[in-house]
Amino acid sequence: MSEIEIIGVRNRFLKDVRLRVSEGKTFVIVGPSGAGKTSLLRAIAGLEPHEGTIIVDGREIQRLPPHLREIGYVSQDLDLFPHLTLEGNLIIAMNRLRVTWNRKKQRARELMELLRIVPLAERYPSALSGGEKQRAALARVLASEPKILLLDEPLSKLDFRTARYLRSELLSLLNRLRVTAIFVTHNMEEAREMGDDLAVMTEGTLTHTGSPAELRLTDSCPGDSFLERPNILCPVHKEFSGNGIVKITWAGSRWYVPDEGREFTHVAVSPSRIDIGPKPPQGPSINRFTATVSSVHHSDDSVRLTVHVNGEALRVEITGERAQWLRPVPGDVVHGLVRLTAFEIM
Amino acid sequence: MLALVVVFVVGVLAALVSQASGPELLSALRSSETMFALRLSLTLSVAAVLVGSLVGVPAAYFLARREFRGKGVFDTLLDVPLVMPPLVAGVGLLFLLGRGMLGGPLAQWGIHLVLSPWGALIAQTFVATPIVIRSAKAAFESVNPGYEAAAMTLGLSPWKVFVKINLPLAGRSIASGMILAWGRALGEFGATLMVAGATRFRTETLPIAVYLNVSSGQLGVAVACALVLVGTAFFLLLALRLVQHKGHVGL
Repeated sequence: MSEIEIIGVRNRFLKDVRLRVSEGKTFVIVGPSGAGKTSLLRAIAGLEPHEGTIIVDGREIQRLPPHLREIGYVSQDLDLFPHLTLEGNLIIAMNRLRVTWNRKKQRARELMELLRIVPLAERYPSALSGGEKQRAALARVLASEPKILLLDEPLSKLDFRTARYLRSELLSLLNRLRVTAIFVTHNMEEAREMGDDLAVMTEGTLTHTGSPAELRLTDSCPGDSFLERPNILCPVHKEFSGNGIVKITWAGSRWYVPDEGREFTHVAVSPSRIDIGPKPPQGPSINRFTATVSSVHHSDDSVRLTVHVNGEALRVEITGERAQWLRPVPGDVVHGLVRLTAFEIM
Repeated sequence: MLALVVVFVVGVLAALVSQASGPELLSALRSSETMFALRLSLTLSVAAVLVGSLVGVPAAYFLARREFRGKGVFDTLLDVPLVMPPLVAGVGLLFLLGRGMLGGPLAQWGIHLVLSPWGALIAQTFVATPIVIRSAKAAFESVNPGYEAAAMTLGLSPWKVFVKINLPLAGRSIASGMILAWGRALGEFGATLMVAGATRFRTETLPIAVYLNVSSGQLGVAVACALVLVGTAFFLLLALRLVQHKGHVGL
């Protein structure tokens, strides 16, 4: 594997970005949407015009077209070729390698085994689930034998559980293959877990570069304003009703969560999927709560609150627009609702 | 309203068939003139679509993917043959290829385009190419540029991206465009008449054969050629449906 150094890269969205990733390391860039993360990856891959120098293994590549840079890029949309099967997607990625057809088939098979997608070889991308597409895209980019791997929020479109599961798998894969990678995410937890080195990106430039340990991103750190940790609820009682719903008891009240036909210990809900208002919401009284606001934290385009429901803390994120109307202050009593589908069982 | 349209369409077809008796029609269909016209029409229209596609598909790709100064003007200019009356296009081509302009120098090389089947080919290509370009451009524009970006970073050269990604993904729409262009070339009359003239057994395409034989009162051959044209049109419609319905799997 290789190392990459980026010196003074800038364009419409980027302001003098510099970073260095040594061989086999994973460099994670966290930042809110619109910070320029995708733009940076696209510039490195040669897909977006830029100034500045990009050096891979001592060789300047900034003037090369994308197909000669040997930089693998997995976009957020994955972009699996819809007219080719999974295997076809892998084989076409080996176009640059001067190997025989049989060798390509064999290597495609090895990669599919590595990512445990062999049974899906003949399927078209439209017939794959989110997690399967993710693995397929990873297998495909590895098939092209890139020197550097760029991953743009590869887990963002997956549900919480799949993302968490795939994350640990991806981590071990990157470690095992000693891939030099730049990984972009807006999820702090993901960043801490994945990165050997970590940087926060805001407004087109990297700030706060360091190892996860050096970069102790606490609640007061700018990097945390876009934190998307879900609330993890630990129910004290569960009742499988058998009609697609599990009734759980948490914070002294009853909550209905989806039944996926399996045992679980925790329930997750994203802060942005909790609705709160000044009055009790209308409709049936399922999954309603009354809470007291204990802290309010304003960020660029949203407001994060911590509320307490019968002594249990719940983090809630509302849009700036809604906050203007609600004007929450600590001590306020608010009424809330969590829709059944907002819960994910773990 | 619908009934009126149906009656009209059926009426036209019935009127055509009723003009000749069965045996007469059959012998006209087998006549050397009908056969010549059919052969010439098929050869020329297929060649026109092929030439039009060879030029038009890459041009459409370029138009769909690149930004350059004056693109709008260029784009509009390409549409002109679509709205230009064929007769007018023919006159323009006649003057361009005639002795006054290109025709003079070409004649010195022994090349005579006007009043020859080559003229008919040029006329048909002129009307068919913009149709191919239009549909191919729309087809390329509908292909997600993300696939192209992915392909490039995987190491595919621009040419391979075109051949292995864009062309297959846009293929069905391009094929539809080619079929429509073929239909247009096959029925092309006005421009062909102007550039190639109407000479029996020389520039006699099916539409020209209909025209020549109606004017000289030989209704048998005229109807036979007309019916062959109608039959081909039906075949093209069928092919179009097939192309548009087939292969949705996986896309």
